[in-house]
Amino acid sequence: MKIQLNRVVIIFLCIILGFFIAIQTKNVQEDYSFVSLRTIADLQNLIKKEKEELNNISELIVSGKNRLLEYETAVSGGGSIRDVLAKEHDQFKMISGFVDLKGPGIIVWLSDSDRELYEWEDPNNVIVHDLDVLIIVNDLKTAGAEAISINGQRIMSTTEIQCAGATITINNHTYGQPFIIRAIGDPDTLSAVIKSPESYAFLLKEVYGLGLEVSVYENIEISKFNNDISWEYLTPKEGE
Amino acid sequence: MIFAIIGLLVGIFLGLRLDITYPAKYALYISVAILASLDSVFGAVRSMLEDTFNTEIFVSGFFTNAILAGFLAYIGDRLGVPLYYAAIFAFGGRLFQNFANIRRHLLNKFRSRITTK
Repeated sequence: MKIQLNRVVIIFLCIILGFFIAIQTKNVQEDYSFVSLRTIADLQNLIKKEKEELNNISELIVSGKNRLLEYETAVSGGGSIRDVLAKEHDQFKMISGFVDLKGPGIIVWLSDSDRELYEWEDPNNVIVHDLDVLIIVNDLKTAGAEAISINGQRIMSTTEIQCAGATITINNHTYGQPFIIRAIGDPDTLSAVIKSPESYAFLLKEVYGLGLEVSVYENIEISKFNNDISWEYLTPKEGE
Repeated sequence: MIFAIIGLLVGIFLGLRLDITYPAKYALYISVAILASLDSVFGAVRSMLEDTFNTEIFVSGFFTNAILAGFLAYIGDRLGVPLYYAAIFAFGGRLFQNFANIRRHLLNKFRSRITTK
């Protein structure tokens, strides 16, 4: 009887031992590679970005469905699809710059500096350059400007802002200073992007001493694109 | 000794079948504890062959050695000193001693059986 008990105890404890050995080998075999906190954060960011993109895409789907519904209601409501298309056509004309526009926005006056040059200072420092105008226009676009014109020339997809000596050529018209930049959009953000201490315009004004003034208007007008425009190389892709 | 082997096999089978996992940081403690338990089992087999087996000593040694070894590894981790080496050397050394004794006993038995034939 004594020996039987011994055997039972040995078997029992050996079962426990074997059990743990098996668990241990199983656990150690699994690959626990080193993952730093940074990697985890990166991966989390990646997941977040992907999710945002997914949201954007689903929003796109929703807006596409809405447009389809718009067409369908227009067609089923007795009216023809022509009304919807005409509306869309007007909108595209407005966006692309073939219609006179008005709306809230800002006007920026940019002129050469009237300060005295330091000794041996480069005169280029006190002149408005094409690049200055280009960067300010870009800043305005960043701030959500919906339409921009410089000295009455509407900024189009083809508009160039090019250096022409002391003058700047815009839409094939050459202008000397001052440059009057009009932008329609949210006046607060537009003026903030010109006035904020980090902006390029602030640098022009405070460091180089160029003349720069900003005014906010309830209602500014931006004229349409007045030149002839001819497209020679564009053809729509087949099947679009 | 056959019972020990049967028990080990059953235990390994159970462990492989059941899906139990624990955090990877405990792996070291468990492995040291396993070493201590293995030493106890070898000691038990040896003592059975020598006819000096004692259940109480075996059971208490099995658990206290395992717990002490795991605890030592844990304390070593806390202190920054690899104290689990102590357990590995002590139990590893004894493991081989026990195994040597078992081998000798078995060989002696085998030899006596041949000579009696």
